[in-house]
Amino acid sequence: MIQNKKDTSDVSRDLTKILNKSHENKWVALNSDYTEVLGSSGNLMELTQQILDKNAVYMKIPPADSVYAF
Amino acid sequence: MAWTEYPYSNVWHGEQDFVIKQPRIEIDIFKGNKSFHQSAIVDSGSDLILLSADIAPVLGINLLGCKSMSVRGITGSRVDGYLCEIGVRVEKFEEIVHVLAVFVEDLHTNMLLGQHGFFRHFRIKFEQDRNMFALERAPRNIVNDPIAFEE
Repeated sequence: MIQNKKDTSDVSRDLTKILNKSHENKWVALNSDYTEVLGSSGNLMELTQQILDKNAVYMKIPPADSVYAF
Repeated sequence: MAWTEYPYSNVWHGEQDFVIKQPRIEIDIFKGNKSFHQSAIVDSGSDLILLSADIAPVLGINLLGCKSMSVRGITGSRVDGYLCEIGVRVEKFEEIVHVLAVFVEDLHTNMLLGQHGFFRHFRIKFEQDRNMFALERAPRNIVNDPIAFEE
């Protein structure tokens, strides 16, 4: 939960350093300071059951070969 | 009320080999006693809050019990969505705001914070030249609100 984690919200959030092509179309769990991918999976439920870090930040990663207008 | 600042997130665009800056914030979403922590995109172009349908079972939500609605992307393609009420807590804010959100199958990203449900609750400033954007809680007495949804 947000209120229990250290405040890393002002640090740089450079996802280019930790995400790559292998993460495309998958769910990833990042550590709270955005320096490490804790795990990835095509199945979010399975990923949440694998990740023990309660401060993990989850994202779904779109393919990097397109720009997006969501 | 004061503005609360957040840094942009850098995302790599592989084909063109350049970096795109996205206004992402961490969000806790709640349903009952379950919650999910994620990074979401602040998206002024979305009419509502959109979520990947993958998140519904994590929150214990049965989408068949939600109101169905159509969602169209920028190309006009139509997909099914499911309108549900959830609780949302924004990074650096304590309050949980109860909003309507649409769960969408095959959404390429996990969560878009759109106009109805997010921008009506938060004032937002984008200052990409400073690599920052900022949020401020909007006043509770929203005026000139033609939205038919109840929250």
